[in-house]
Amino acid sequence: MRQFTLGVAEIATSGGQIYVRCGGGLEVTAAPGQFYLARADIATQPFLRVPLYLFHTQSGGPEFFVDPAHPYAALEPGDTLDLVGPCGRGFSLPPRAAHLLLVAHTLERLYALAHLALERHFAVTLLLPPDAPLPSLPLDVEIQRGALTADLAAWADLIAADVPDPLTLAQQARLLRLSPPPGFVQAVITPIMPCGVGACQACWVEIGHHRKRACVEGPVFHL
Amino acid sequence: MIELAPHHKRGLSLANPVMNASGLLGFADEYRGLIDFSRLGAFVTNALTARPRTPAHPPNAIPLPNGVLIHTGLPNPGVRAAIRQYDREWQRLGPPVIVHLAATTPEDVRRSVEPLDLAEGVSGVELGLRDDVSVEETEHVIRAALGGPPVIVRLPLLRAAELCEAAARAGADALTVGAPMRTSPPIPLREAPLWGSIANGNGEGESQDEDGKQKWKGRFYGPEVFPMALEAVRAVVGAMQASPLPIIGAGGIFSEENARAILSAGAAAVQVDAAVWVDPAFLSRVAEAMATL
Repeated sequence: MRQFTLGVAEIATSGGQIYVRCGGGLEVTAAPGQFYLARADIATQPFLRVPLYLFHTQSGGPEFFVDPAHPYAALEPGDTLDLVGPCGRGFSLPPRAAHLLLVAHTLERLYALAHLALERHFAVTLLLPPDAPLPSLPLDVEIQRGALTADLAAWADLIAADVPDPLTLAQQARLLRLSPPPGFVQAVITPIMPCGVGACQACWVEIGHHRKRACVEGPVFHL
Repeated sequence: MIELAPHHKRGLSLANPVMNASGLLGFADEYRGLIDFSRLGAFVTNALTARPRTPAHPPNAIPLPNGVLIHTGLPNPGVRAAIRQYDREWQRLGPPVIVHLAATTPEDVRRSVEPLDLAEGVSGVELGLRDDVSVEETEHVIRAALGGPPVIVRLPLLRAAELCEAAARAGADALTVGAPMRTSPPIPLREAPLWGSIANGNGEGESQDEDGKQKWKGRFYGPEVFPMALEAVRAVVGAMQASPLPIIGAGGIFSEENARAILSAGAAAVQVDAAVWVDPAFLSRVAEAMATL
């Protein structure tokens, strides 16, 4: 965990999604699902730091992937980002898994996982709501629309979710899949996280009968 | 050196007037690697209570354009478990450790202070009063806290001038002015800004009373608290002229100038709150700047 600054080198747009490419010089790493708490040197921004999810680190510098609605989607080259992190726990790909099902309304927090899974030769399917815009993804990713089905649940070795109601999705998955493997449903749950280090006690999420701090025990939870 | 408990047998000496406010940095070294604790005058823990407490139901934070509302329910493992868990870290941390105790009842405060008196890593206790505490209750809980480490009493910001003399009468060694005010968000919870994956609102009807008023309340942190904090420090300094106590000014300190203004108003020390979340490095920076005063 450290605090450091990066300069924004380029803002690239592809398929309606935005990549914030930063200058090199510092080693920036994070597991998919882990985040950095960021603050830019711009006049208008949220009071608290905002989570940024590392897409990957190119030779030129780290690259963050943000949705168009993200407060830092309008950054410009030359702006500076002050980052704290990496924070929290990310996704874990089980060693013998081969089929990854992404269930998402937005890909901001799952994009790095999709690419890591493809690098490891997973078959990756993205399940989107019927009206969600089509994201820009590698051709290897199969895209389906609609609700989780028994066929999909049976096909998947791991469901990685970023949906408004992950607990309901996990319940559906358990109903549709007999004897699911450990860690079958992993969901990213990110309430407002003021500190990112577990100090402020303000990001509790309720998982079953347990309450956990999203910034240190999440934001990826096994459901 | 700054002496926060000149009349206490042990005293409470700080090498620097800058510390964190309770609830900001956790129970021990959660901010390790991000904050240089050796620069701080003191480290103030999150709130402890005699018995363990679970967190309040989410949401626990509502972001606003000019700050944030926080309502945690003061989750903590209880004083005795906290001592077992953290006392060794408190001894290693560097600056004096001040344990923040939520002033629930005199009995609970008494039960909490006894083990804290034996903890080697504890240099002082900060007693956090409820916003609606009466003058009589103020005196009772403070008296219950005496006999152990030096007692700093954190007064509600908006009632600091009203309660400061009662706190002094009851035996407080120093005063913190003060705890941020609790208030409701100006917008329905479900419309609060969201930069995460889940909605801020919780169960149906949870955020509003039957008459439609917001019942969710949180402490407001943000730079707009600062003018009120400065005014409260001035008022308490004025009210305490006959029998002055060391005062720790707190609330909305977001710049070195803010900290200087609080010290110039008569405070012996300052507590930094949500500026730490915005910029963890700020705490060390302002401590370094205040060290040269």
